[in-house]
Amino acid sequence: MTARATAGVPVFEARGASKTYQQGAITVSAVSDISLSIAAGDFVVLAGPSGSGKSTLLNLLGGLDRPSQGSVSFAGADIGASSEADRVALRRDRLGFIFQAFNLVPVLSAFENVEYALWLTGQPRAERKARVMKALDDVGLSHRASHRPDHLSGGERQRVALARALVHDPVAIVADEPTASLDSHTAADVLMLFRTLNEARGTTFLVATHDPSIVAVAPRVIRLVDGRVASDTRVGPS
Amino acid sequence: MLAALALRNLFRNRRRTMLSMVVIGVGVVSLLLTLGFIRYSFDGLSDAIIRGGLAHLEVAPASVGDGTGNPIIDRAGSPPAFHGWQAVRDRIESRADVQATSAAVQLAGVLLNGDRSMAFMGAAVEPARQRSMGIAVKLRAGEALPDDAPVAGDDRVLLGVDLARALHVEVGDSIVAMVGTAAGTLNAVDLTVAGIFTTGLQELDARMAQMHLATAQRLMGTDDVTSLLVGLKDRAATETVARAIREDVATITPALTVADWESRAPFYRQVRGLYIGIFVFLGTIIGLLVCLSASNTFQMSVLERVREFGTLLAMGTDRGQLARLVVLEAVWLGVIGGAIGSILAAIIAFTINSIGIQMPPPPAAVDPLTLLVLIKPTDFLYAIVFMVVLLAIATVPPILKILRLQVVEALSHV
Amino acid sequence: MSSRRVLTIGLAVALAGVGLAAQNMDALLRRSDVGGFVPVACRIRLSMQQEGVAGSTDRKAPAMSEVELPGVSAVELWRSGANRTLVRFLDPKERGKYLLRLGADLWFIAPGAKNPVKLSPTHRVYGAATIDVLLGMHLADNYRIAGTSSGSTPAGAVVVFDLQAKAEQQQFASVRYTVQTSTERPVSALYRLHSGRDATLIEFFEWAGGARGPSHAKRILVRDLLRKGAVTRIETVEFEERAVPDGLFDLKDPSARKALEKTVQSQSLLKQNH
Repeated sequence: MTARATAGVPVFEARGASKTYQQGAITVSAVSDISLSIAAGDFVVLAGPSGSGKSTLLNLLGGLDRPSQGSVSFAGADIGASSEADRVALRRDRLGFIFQAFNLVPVLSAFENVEYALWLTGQPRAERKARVMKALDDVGLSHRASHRPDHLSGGERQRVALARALVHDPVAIVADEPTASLDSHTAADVLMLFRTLNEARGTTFLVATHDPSIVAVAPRVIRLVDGRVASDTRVGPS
Repeated sequence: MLAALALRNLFRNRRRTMLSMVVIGVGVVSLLLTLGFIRYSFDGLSDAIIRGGLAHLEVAPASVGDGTGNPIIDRAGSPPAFHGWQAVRDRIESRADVQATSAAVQLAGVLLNGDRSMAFMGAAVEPARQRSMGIAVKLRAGEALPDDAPVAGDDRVLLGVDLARALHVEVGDSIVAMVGTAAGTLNAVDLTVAGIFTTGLQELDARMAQMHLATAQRLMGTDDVTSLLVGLKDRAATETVARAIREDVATITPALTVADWESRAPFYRQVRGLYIGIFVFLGTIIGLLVCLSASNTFQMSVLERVREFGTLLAMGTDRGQLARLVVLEAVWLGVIGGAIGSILAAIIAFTINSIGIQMPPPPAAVDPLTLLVLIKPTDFLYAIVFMVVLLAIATVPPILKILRLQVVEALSHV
Repeated sequence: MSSRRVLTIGLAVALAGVGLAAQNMDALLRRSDVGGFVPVACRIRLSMQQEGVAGSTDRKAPAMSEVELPGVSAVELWRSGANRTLVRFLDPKERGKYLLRLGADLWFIAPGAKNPVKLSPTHRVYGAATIDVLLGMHLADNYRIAGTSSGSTPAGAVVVFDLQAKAEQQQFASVRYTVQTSTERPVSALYRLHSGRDATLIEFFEWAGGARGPSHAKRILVRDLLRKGAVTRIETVEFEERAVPDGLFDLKDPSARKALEKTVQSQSLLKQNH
């Protein structure tokens, strides 16, 4: 079981975080001087057009990348300066990731894809089965546990991805364009699921998207323009 | 989990995996068939050497055989010097692991048929004992020497096929053998050609003659012998029995040596060294081919899964686990490909052995060889392990790539 | 008398002297020819011992007897004419074996073989001794004097002959033959091969006979220089000038030789009984 976030300590925090890349002779600034704080249980959407720095900020907050300047913290710990092993442990034990293209392992069944995340944490086999089935049940896919991704619809795959991200009871879910590959109806279902789980479990959700339907229902939206925070507003039902 | 995932990953691209397995399978088949043929050659050669007259062990006075390094030549040039050999033989034959022990005299001299004369090297034996040791003469004509010691005037001889031809004699003809005796004088005895044989080697067929021990002792005017040849029930026990006999005869003077067949067969050691060299060379070539082919396969396989690896890394899989995954894929490939190759090799070997293909005689030999492939069960295991190791080595380049992967770049890889 | 005449006479006297000297050397060689000491028909019993063989510890002339010593071999030579010699082996294990020389041919007769076997004429009877060594070579007939020199030994003055073979077929191309002038007996003979290598050295230690019969070498020592100087000591045990039955030299018919063996066996039994 992963440790819950400590009360009062933000789950995600950025202070003057910037990320630059070298593209040949040109230095590109993906995000600049970003400072924000996300509390436990928050459902936060990072919105903005393509190239606004949403994914880069998501990667920094999710511990997938290090800031070029400034700091990024998770539950009070500076993850930008921590070792690779610590960041791997963070992602394995306390975070769950959802990707635009689902990124399921095609040769594993739905059950096995979800089980993989538990296996990484060192859960014994006997305990894994029950938790996997519960996770699949939570996303309404326990009846499709034995199916491989190529036998699942887009929506079902994303649900499996969600189950995989949740099965180890993470502190936060980081989702990058989770509905970009789905039709509007399915996207709405998936979004509903996100909100339900957020409210039921208190899991922090950090979603990067340019989907207006998600933005519309998100309790908090941080808008990015050209790599900077343009606005940070709490909108919609909290 | 990783093992199961690795196995399934193998069959993502079936065609490529099948091709790899074919390469591995062919490699395994080549190695096993070559190994089986070499083993047959070694076994055949060693068996021919042992049953051709060398026997498993030889017990002889220590001074005999120090000279050119060729035991046949050295012993033939020295008079029999083994006194009291009967008692030593009785001791050796009382051992349960000894089949039989035959006294032997080696001699050299001249054979004459009228005006024709040829130098010869002779082996004088006890036919019954030699037969029980499995030492047989390959007769081309006539019959074997009688078991009983011949009386004076009834001495017989077997001649090498080319020696008989050079002397212009046939079975039943009478010739004269003249040798230097143990006392350094001369002696001559009439011999009847009882049979004509081949040793399997052309050079020896032109020189060798075989007679009863009693005939040689009569010729050389001595009751001594050159050595005792020991035949064992189990060849694998050669070293153990040699050690035991050495201890047993340690107190006898003058000192006796106990030599195994391999130390008396320099030709075998040379052939063995040559074959091993050839096998190692072939194995290296096959290994390189398999390794290079597999490395290319693994590289492509990893390139195709960069995003997947990025996802797994994002989820908290460490790079060591990913490396293990790739190695496990190589192991599975090696095991399955090796198993397929082993089964194929077994089938081909069985087929070859059933057909009975005749190969031309090897250099200096007389008789053609029947092609046989002798593969032991452990050979299959070694072949598979060899392939697994090779394939594991082939994973080094893709693993290095994985270790350098940046998660963010991998996630956006198309 | 004119000086020319004196010179001529002097030259003639000198030449005559040289000629006389040469004739004297020829005569000395003939008188001391080792081959000439053996009668045309005779029986000789020899005892031979190789250096280093068990029983032989005396490096000087060993004490010999009729009883065979261990390591000692005994043979009996029967000679009739220049071209016929029979060597009879006397060791118990060698009984029934013969070497028969007829002219240039040498045959080996063994009890185990029906027919005789031809050998090389230079076959060694025992150790370093060939038949020619045992009987002595006719040096005066087969060699010419290429040079002489004189010397001295503790026993007295000697003449050293350098002899060259008259015919190329001779086994030894040259011989250095040393003769004691006072006794006109050979002291040593060094035989050399055509290649120039020294092959055999024979040293004559003791002579017997003279007033009591034909002179003959009683004890000789033969060194095989081709085999690191291996030594064979030979002693004449019996020497009898006598007629020899022709039958002994019959290559095909062994009856005379068998009869000889029987006679010798009977004599030996008689001796034992007495």
